[in-house]
Amino acid sequence: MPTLLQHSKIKCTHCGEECTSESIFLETGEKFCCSGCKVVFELLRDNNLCNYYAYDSNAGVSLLFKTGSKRFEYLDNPEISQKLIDYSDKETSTATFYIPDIHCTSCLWLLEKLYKLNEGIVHSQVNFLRKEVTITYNNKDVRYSTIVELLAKIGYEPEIKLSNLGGTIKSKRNHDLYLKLGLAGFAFGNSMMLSFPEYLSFGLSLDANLRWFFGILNIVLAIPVLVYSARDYFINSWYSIRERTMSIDVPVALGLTALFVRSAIDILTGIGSGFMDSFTGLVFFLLIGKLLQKKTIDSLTFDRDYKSYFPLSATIVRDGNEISLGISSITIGDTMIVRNAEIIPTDGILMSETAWIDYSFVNGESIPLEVQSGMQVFAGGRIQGAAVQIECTRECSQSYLTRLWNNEVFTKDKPSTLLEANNIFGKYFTIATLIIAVSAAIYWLVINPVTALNAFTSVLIIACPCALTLAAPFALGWALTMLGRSKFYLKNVSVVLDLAAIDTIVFDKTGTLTKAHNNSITYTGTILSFDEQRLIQTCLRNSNHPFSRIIASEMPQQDGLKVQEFKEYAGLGVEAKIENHSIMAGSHDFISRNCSSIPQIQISTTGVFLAIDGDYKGCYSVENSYREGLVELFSRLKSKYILYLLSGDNSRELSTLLPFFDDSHNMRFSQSPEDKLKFIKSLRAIGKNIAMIGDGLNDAGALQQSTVGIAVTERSGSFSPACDGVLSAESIVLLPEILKFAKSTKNVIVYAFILSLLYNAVGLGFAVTGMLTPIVAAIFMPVSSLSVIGFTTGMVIWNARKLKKISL
Amino acid sequence: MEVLYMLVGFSLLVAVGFLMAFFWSVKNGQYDDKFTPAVRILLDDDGSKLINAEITITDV
Repeated sequence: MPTLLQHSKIKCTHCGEECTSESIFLETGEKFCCSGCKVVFELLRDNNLCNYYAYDSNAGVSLLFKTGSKRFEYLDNPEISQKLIDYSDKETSTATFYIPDIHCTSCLWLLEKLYKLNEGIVHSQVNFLRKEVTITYNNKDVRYSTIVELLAKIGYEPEIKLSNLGGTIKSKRNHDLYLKLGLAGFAFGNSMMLSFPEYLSFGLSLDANLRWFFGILNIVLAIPVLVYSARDYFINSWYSIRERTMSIDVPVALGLTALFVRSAIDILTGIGSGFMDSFTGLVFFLLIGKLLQKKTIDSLTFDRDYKSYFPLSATIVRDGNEISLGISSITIGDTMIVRNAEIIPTDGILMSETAWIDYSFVNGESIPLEVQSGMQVFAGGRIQGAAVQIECTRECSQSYLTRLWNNEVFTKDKPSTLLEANNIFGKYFTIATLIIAVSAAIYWLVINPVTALNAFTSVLIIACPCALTLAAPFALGWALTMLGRSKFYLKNVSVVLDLAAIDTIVFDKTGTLTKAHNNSITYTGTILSFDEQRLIQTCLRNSNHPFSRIIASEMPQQDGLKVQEFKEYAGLGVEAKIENHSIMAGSHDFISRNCSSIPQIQISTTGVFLAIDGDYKGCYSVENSYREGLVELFSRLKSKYILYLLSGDNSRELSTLLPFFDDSHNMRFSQSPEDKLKFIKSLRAIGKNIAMIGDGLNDAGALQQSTVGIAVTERSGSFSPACDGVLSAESIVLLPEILKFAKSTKNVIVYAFILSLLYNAVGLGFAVTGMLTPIVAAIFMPVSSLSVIGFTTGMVIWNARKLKKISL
Repeated sequence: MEVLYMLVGFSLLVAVGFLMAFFWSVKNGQYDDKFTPAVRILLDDDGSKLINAEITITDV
């Protein structure tokens, strides 16, 4: 097939990955990058499910890098499956699976057609944003593990992690708030209709019976709002009074009580028509603010710990048989088998001859480590290449990595800045309101006792900081949405305020400043001819060394040649005989020992040296590739913030990074996860507000300890440790704008506070003079609330314009 | 004016009906996923059409 030698890219029919020489071609014209893709295609074709490819071309999930022969039987262990299944009766069971690979319309289509692939599946429904599929199946015909197997077979392997087993309560959706809001809105609308005749009659007195009828209906409408919709304000103020703090909920609850009680008295005694429309309207607006404030991002979780990173089970050899065992049941002395791309579940000693372990997620070391038989391996490392056997020396919960979570920072929640601000503000506000209300009452008691109660309640009503409580939720809620458009997702609204206070930024290197999966390859030496390249590529392809594979994949793709002899020397290199040429590739030592004339160039620790027929040719070196735009990013950050680097990697990149940080004292290398945590702690102790930007489990402690912990991620589905915000890697260059935007949002809140305090002052003028009539309240309260909402929303969106422009 | 009592009463009753409908829809989970149903409606129910067409061509 000579046409294949062309460099035109042939895409896999199933997944769209570029096909290599190892690709498979069907007679019907379909091409596949690997046998996995072909199997999925044939399965779909045989079941008339080829429309999968009609919605999105090359929709499939590549199976090229997935590990084969996964075992799922352990999932049928009743203890485990019980925790994983949502609901089960005699005939059917329902289970929800988290599938990170859900990415397009075709995924949705296929996953909802699962019943065609297995008759035992009754129904499946996808929640696209949460990347979840809920499957109802006949539990007599199908087992839980069968479904997982089927999903894995078609490329949608569900993520079943240790944390699922921790008995965590399934996130209860926020139905309550919607119901409360609906009720308040219903009561507000109707109450306003009933109050209109009174307002619009302008002196023409309403029929007394009708007026009473409307009044009673108003009370009936307001009672459920008081006891259900507004319940949280009363409960929260009760708690805050008991804890001797005064949150902003206290004056709100006071105002609501005053409104309701006075309205009820007015209506029942026939003095007036009450303020029930203002009361229900107030609750309605407050709840809208609350809804904005509670906004969360469905597809992200911010509280992951190591448990969501580790697999659920491991393969153990016992009495010569391979069995799957839950991770927590692995005991010291067990022999585990860990395959390519799997994570080492516990610390142990390597039994196999040699292994390549990628620790980048654990300690930031970007280059896979070679481990020899008898050496220690640590939990969290990812095996590259052939499967290995490891003898367990520590239980999972005691391993080097997981011990980090015993640190006290993980046991307590970060204090919420918004809550603290609310508490301080609420205290002064409540005291001031009560003083004014009481003085007004005393004043009127002396002059005209009839007006005293009127004035007292009027002050409480008007001082109810409605506009004030709306300012922060609306400003912060919109800020969250705006940041989300630039692919920066925050855990909650309070983080915006924390961001505004940042003065120091600490960066991690591997995965944060460098790309996670992309290495750049440079070649130094004599120029290789086309044939030589082909020889070397063939040789490297056969090697298990991670670098060899990276280099082979980065070279122009060609057809492989026939390998006559091949020998791999552990830790040294490979030797191959191809088309009667002898090819050697490996470390500096290995090549220099076997051939002459190797120049004494700088001995790069990360190079692969090459020789053909005993002649030294050159060296490929693999380096981290840094993200684009870093130079500009750092030059803009430098003037405003103090910058630090904390890397788990060694200091070989110091010279490259020095221009970014200016001072080598601000750069720390070879930092353990604990070192990072301690360093952040020491900075905080001297009063710095720190944004830590990291990505791996090794940053978890530092992220938790910092003012704002930001995790950088390249794919939305990939694992990120517990943090306050998730930043998409492409948006890291937006950091200066993001921080500026946070500051401007804080200012908007301050202005909105001043505005609403002005409203309160004007309103108090009405109140203390005893002139607060229902119609004044009915106009004044919505106007003040709506104008504050409008102001904050408008300002935040205006400020975010810069943010949006750059991200587009 | 007496007709107002009836009018207001009935209008409230209708409004309560809609409130109940809203409560039901929230509890039924209709607000849980606001994205997927919008995509799902664009997908054909029967996936076999395209394939059938192909089969007839090869049969001929």
